[in-house]
Parts: sequence; C-alpha cells; structure tokens
Amino acid sequence: MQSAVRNPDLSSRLAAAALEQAMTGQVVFDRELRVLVWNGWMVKTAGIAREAALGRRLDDIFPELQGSYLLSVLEQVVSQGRSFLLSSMLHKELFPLWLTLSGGRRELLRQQICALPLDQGEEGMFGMVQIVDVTQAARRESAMYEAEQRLRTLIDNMPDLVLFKDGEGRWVEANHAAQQIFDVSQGSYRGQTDQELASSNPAQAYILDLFRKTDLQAWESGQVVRADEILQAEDGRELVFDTIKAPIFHGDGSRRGLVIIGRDVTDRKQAERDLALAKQVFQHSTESIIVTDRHNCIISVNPAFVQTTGYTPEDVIGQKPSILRSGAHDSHFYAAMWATILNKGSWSGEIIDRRKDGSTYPKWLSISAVRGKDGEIENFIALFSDISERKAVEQRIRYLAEHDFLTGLPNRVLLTDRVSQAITFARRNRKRLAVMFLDLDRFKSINDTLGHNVGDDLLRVVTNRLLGQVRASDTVSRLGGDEFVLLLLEVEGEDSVAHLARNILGALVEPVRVGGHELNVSGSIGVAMYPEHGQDIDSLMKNADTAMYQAKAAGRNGYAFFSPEMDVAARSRHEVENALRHALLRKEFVLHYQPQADVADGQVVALEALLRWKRPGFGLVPPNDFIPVAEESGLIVPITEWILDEVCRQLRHWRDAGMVHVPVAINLSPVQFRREGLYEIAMEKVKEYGLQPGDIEFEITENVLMLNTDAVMRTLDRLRAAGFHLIIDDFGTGYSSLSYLKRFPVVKLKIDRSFVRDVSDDPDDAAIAGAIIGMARSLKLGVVAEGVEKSEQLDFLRQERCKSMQGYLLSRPLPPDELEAALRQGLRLVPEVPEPSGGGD
Amino acid sequence: MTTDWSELERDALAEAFNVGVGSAAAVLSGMVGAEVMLSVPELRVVDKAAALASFGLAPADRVCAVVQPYGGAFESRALLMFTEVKSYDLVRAVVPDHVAEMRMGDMAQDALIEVGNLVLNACLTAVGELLGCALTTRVPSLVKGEAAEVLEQMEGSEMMLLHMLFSIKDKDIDGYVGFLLDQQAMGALKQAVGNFLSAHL
Repeated sequence: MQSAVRNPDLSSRLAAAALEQAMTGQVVFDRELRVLVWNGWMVKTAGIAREAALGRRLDDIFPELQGSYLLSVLEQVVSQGRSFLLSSMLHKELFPLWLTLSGGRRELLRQQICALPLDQGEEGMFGMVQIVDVTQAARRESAMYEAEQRLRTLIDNMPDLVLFKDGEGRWVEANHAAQQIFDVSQGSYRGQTDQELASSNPAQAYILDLFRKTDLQAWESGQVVRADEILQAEDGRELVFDTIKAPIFHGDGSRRGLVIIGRDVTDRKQAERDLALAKQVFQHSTESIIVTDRHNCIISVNPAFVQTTGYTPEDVIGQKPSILRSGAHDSHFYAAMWATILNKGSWSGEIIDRRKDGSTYPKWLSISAVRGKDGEIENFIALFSDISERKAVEQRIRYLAEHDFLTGLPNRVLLTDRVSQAITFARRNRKRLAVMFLDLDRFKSINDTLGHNVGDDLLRVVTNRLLGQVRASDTVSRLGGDEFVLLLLEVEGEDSVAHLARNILGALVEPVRVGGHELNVSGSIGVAMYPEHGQDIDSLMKNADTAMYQAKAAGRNGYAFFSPEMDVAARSRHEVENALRHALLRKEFVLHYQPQADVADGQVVALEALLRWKRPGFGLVPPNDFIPVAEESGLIVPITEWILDEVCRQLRHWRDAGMVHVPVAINLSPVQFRREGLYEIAMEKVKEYGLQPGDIEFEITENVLMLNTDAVMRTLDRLRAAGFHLIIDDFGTGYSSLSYLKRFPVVKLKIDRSFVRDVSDDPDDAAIAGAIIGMARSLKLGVVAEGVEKSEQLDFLRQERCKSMQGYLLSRPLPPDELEAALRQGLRLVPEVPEPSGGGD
Repeated sequence: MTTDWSELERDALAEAFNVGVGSAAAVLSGMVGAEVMLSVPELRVVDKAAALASFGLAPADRVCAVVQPYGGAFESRALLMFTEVKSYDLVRAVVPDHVAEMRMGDMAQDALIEVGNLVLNACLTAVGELLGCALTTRVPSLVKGEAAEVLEQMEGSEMMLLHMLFSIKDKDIDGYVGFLLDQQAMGALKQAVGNFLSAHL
C-alpha cells in the first residue's frame, strides 16, 4: 500500500486494474464521445473487445444510440458538466446491452446509469458512464410488488375486516372492508391513530373509541383477544363483528403491531336470536303446535299440545297426527284438507278431535307446509287451540247481547229482531199481531224506597207472572227499568188482546212478597196492533208506548189501545216538555204568593209561593198542566232551584223594604228527593241572600214520607236541623199515618182542601178535619187549613181551634207587587168580609 | 436577513424557471408516455428557518427529497421536496406498476431521483443562464426523513423556494424546489434579475 501511495504509476495501474475488474460497466469518453476507457464488464457484457471500442464514438459502437435521450444526456455531461442518473424504470432503451437467457433467448439488460463529468482542467472535459445491471433487482422488486399486490388483493377481497396497527396504535394497513366500515379512504388512514381518525370523522368517534378498548385488552394481556364488537354500517345499522385482535411483539418485548380481523356476524346473531325467540314462542305458546317431517310423522310438539290433548311427546313422536282423530269427519273431509295444504300451502278450519282420555273437543286448526329452498316440502306445522270454551263464551255473549241480564228476558235487540220477523210473517200470512207496552206504576218509588235489590226481585216476580199469561210463541221482553214489551203473535182481534191485558193486570195486582216487604203492584198497558196501528216496527213500538202513557194518565192499573187522538195528545205533551226546557232560560216562570193568617187574631203568619208559567201564546198555564210533565222529565229539579233562588231574592227584597217578616213556604216535589243536593242548595241560597233557614218552609206531600229511605230521612233531618220548617201538604189524602208523624221532623200539617170544603155541611168531613186538628194539637204540631173560602168554614176552624188558614177568604195568590200593595193596606183576616167562589192553590 | 426581493423581481425569476422547466416537462412526457406539465405558480425567497412554514410543513412531517449538489460559479445544493404521500403519488404516476401502497423499492426510487434530476437540472440551467455562468451538477441522491432533518442537512442560509406543480395524467402533484444560496450568491442572482429586467423593460 505504502509503496503504491509513493509510486503514482503503481497507483494508477492499480486503479486501472480495479476499473477493469469492476462489477459495473465503466466507460470514459471525451467531448466527442469517443471512448477512452472500456472496462472488462463492458467487454463481457457488450461483447465488444476493448481494442474494438477504444477511440470510437459511442453512437458508432452502439448505432442504436443515435438520436436517443441517452446520447443527449452524454453530450450534456461533457458540454455542460452536468451529472445524470438514468433508470430503466423510465427508459425502455438505454445501452443496447443484452442478457442471454437459457435456451438462447435474449433480454435487454435492465440498467441504472450514472453519467457524470470528469473535469480534467487544462486537459479538458471528459465524461464517465457507470452502468449497473439491475435486472435481478428489478425482477426481485417486480416479484415483490406482485406478491404484495396479490396479498393486497387477497385481503381486500376478504369479506372480513382486516386491520394492522403499529405498536403505537397507528393504522398501517386496512382492507376494503375495514375502510368501508370505519369510513376511511384509501391512503388517508396510514400513520393515523384512532383518535386522529376520529377527529377528522366525528361520526366514527364513538365506534373507534369502543373498538380501541379491546385493543388495549389485547396489548395488556399480550394474548389474542376475541370479542363481539358493535360497529355501524354506512346506513346507520348496528352490526356485530366477531373480532380477533392479536398483538405482535418485537424480540425485546416492545410492541410491534396489532393484527385485527373482524367478521360480520350480525345476521348470524340475529338468526340466533330469532331461533331462541322461536323456541320461546314454541314453548310458551298457548296454541298447541305439532311439527311433522315430510312424511307427516310427528317430530315435535309443544307443552300446550300436551296440555290440550293429554298426550305426552313420547306418546306421539313418530306417530301421525291422525291418532288425534275423533271420527267426527269422514275421509273426504281429510282428503279435501290435504289437497288444500298441498296446493295452497296451508289449510285452516274447525275440526273435532279426540283427547287421550277419549273426550272430544272442537278446535281451530291451521296446517302449513314448510318448503325448503329447493321448493320441496320439508315439514308440516299444525297449530290449534281448543275452542270449546270459546264456543261456549260465544254463545254466552250472544245470549247476553240479546237478553236482559236481570230477568233473562229478551232485550231490545232480540225483541226488535222478533218483531220485525213477526211483521214479515204477519204481512205474508195476513195475520194480526199486537205489541204491548207495560209499565209498572210507581216502580221508581219502590226502587228508591226499598232499594234496588227489592226492585230487582219485584221485576223477576213480574217477569214470571207475565210469562204465566202468554203463550210460548209470544215474546215477553224487558227494555230496561220497569218497561216490559210483549209481542203477541197471531192475535184474533182487540177483544182477545184486551182480555189478555186484563188478565195481566189481574195477575200483577196480587200482592208481592219480596225482601220481607209486601208490595202492591199495578201496571199500565198500552197496545198497538198490526196492521191497524202501525205497519212497521218503529210505529208499532212508538204507538204502544203512547197508548201506555194514556193508560197511566187515565189513572193507572189500566190498559189502552192506541188511537190517532192519543198521538196528538202525546205530541202536545212532548211540546210542553220542550217548551218547559226553554221556560227557565227565557224567564217565563213567575211566583205568586198566597198569604196564611192566624185564625185567632187574623194576622198574616206565612206566605206560600206558587209557581206560574207565562207560556207565550198560551197565557198563564195552570200548574196541573205542567207540573206532572216537569216531574216526569226531571225538569222539576232545576225549576225548584229557581224557585228557591227567587223566593230568597224576593224575601230579601221585602225585608230590605221593611215588610214581610213571616216565613215563605215552597212546595217540594218527591222527584226532588231522588236527587242529591237539595240541602246544600237550600243552605247556599239562604246564605247568599242573608236569610235564616227559619224564613223558609218546605211543603212536602205524604208520598215523600212514604219513600221512607235513608236518603230521604237524612235530607229531611238535615233540613230540619238547620232550622228549615217542614210542612206536610195535602194531609189526609194519602196513607196518613200517625207513626210517621212521630218519626219525621215536621212542624206543621196542612189539611187538604177536600176536607175543608164541606166541613160546614158534611159531618164526616167535619169529623176528619176536627180529628186532624186535634191530633196536630196533641202532637204539638202546627195546622193550616187550606181552601178556606167561606166564613162558615172559618167558624168551624175557630170552633175547632185550628191554628191558621189559607184561602180566598183571606186572599187569592197574588203577584209580588199586588201582595205588597195588599200588605201595605193592612191585609188581615176579616171574618165579616166573605169572598166566595174560586179556589186557592 | 433575507435579501429583499420585489414582487417584480420574483415574478421575473419565476417566469425564467417556468420557461426552464418547460423542456424538462417535454422530456418527462416522453419518458412517462403521457403529457406532463410543469409549472411554477409561485416563488419566494425565505430564511431557511422559515422555509418549512412556507412549504406548509410541520417539522416532523415525513418528506422525500431529491438532492442535487451543484458547482461552477458557486457551490450549493438544490432540492426537490415532496411530502411522503405526494412522492408516492408522483412515482405512481410515472411508474404505476411498481409502487405498492406505501412502499417504494430501489428501482422506483431511482425513477424518482431521475425525475428530480431532470427538473433540478432544468432549474439550474435557468439560473445559470440568468447569471451568465455554467453550473455543473453532481450525482443526485434521495433523502427521506422528517422535514426539519432533511433541511438541516442543507448548507446555506437563504432559500429560494419554488412551488412546483406536476400535472401528470389529470393528477396535480405539489412539489417544492429549493435552492440554498449564500447571501453572496443570492445577491448575484438578484443583480442578474435586475440586469435582465432593465435590459427588457
């Protein structure tokens, strides 16, 4: 070495030898591209001896170079001193150097060429070319590239997601499936961590976050972790991935990378859930289920089947469902059933089968054929339920729908059906029929007084009595309440119907014993005949109803046949009711006041408020013409409220004017006691107008006392306790009973005008009136005689020491202003001024 | 201190480069077998320290640069730098069958060097012509690494920065050409541009 350094000649010879032996092509050329150096590699590779090359231009040695890019590069090297690197990657043709392959084939050598200037100062500019054979390297690279492409293609085409992250959690590789599921694009994910990807795609943040949890598990455990991961499809659906995460470590234990493979098992999971659910349904279904194979041999039955049929699975598996047959259906039935199953895929219908214990039962059966993917039948599934109960229930429902639950009689639904059938029959056969409406008299009072149980029992007794009077072909129905309708078929004429009506009324009046009470019942009957009283069901029913009202109006316990005149009357009653409904609103009611005076000193001691209706177009309507209608329709309740208010208002007005320091009496209807709230309203009104309960007297009839229910008692007690005075009106006309006089908190009796009228002429009336007055006195009750018109009557009252009186002898009922005037003029009872004729209230 | 260049001077220089790289684009088109266009939309002269920000790069960004040492009137280095992703895009555009997702073999790297060599040669030719001097080049090489490291290896304080747009097969790829010059060289270049401008205006 040292010698060579000191010997330049040796050094350059060694350099030349090294150049000669180099494994690369080495060519040096001058400005004219003439070859100056041509090493051994070139000799061998180009097949051109050094002697043949030296001194020749390169494009002379290689004519292919003429006009080539390489040649221009070589020229630039020597002319401009530029260096170049040329690669076979970008150039098909560089130096025409060939490689001989086995079999004599030739292939262009792949080259990497480095062309650079060798500036030799004064000696001039030279160029040098180094040629490296990169054929092998290119092949290797190409093979590697292809291998990688194959691998890439492989993982990209896997339906599973494949993901490789490096030791720091940065994404290295992700196949198509992974890119899609995480919504990252090709190339953009590389080198990114989950967090970085999440920040550029917030929609995925939650998912990536979840996904990373198992990454950490894998790293921490150092083992493969398998988990179901919830990911999200593009359309937002949740997907379940069966995911495997395998951590890979470097030799020194540091983290190298994480291989993640995930398989979409959403469908499988769903199928598993579906299957589990189907199993649950099969087990817990209340319907019996039989599954058979394609040969219709039973392969499975559910618990409901066992319960319904009594057969255990062991009894039936392997058997045909025909073991359930009862023999109720013939072979044609089953043949038709199977034909339907095979042709249409399913059959359903009612069938009677036999249980294991031999009993038969109706069932609703559905059979379906289950076909496989090839369209061949694989199974039959039969579902059925025992419908014996359902059938019973259906019948029961039908019965309930058509019958009155209380009496078991047909209700309106069934009656309507029967009447229309009967009309059709009668029309076709020219027969007559009768519709009979029956309403029990005063049934409401019984219900209210004795309670619903007694009322119900009474209705059942009545039902039996009615059934006892009619033929089997006739229909007795109850529409509700105490309303019964009888449909009588093929009746002869009105005589026979009248005969039947009398019989029915006769049967009803027999005393009824229910709940320890003996009740006297009567009824009112209205009859409409087909065809003369109506051609259709509606008119027959309506007209029978109208006739029944007529019978009631005529004094109860009677019957009436429909007549057109009744229709008119019924209509006018209807009109009255309608007009009454508006009367309150239109302020058509007024109150008149009739004073009562003390018999002994003639002073006015009380007023009775009397309702008057100023009906437009009709003038002043008498109370008897509208009070019953108001009571029946229930309108009496709001009317009474109005009276209370009006009386209190008027009284307040009078008191403020320094007059009328006596109480005012108000009549209460029995209907009022069927409603709650009388006490509350009375108290409210009294308070509202700053009055005392003692300023108001309530007149009630004996009927009210006869109701004798807890509710009535309570109301009366409360009214009395509050200080209201209770007066029994029309005393002597009802079931005047001393016992209830003791029981009820009344303060005064009012002797009915019918006894007062003839006291001076009729000794009996005088005796009755005298007895009442005496009794009242001994019971320490006040007593008022009403309808006093003559001085003889007053004489009698004085003689009997009756406390007070009311009647024309004192004053007729007066409008408030007239009353005021009379009072101002010192109205009092003056026996010397008799004013005969007319009646009071 | 960076040399103060007026907008006119910068535009004139950019235009000189635009003309210069035209021939390189033609050569490249021949090599790639498709039309390649090269353009220089913008030129700046910046302090080396500020160069990264001008490239729109963070110090730790992965980059790939073809470095071309040159000599003659003055010695320095030129470089053509891409972000790693863009470098793959470029190689994929010129040798599509040899670039896997994010891996480049030696052969593919050679192709990238050759492209850089071509472009930088053209730029140096343009500079040389402006300066009226010949610039020689030495063998180019490929440097990969973090942006800050790559620039650190370069000598010189001022950097002439060219934004270079490669349009290949409908794909636009951004690259940056940087010449690192000392103040003297930069002054000479500015002088030359000034002379050119006064001669032509």
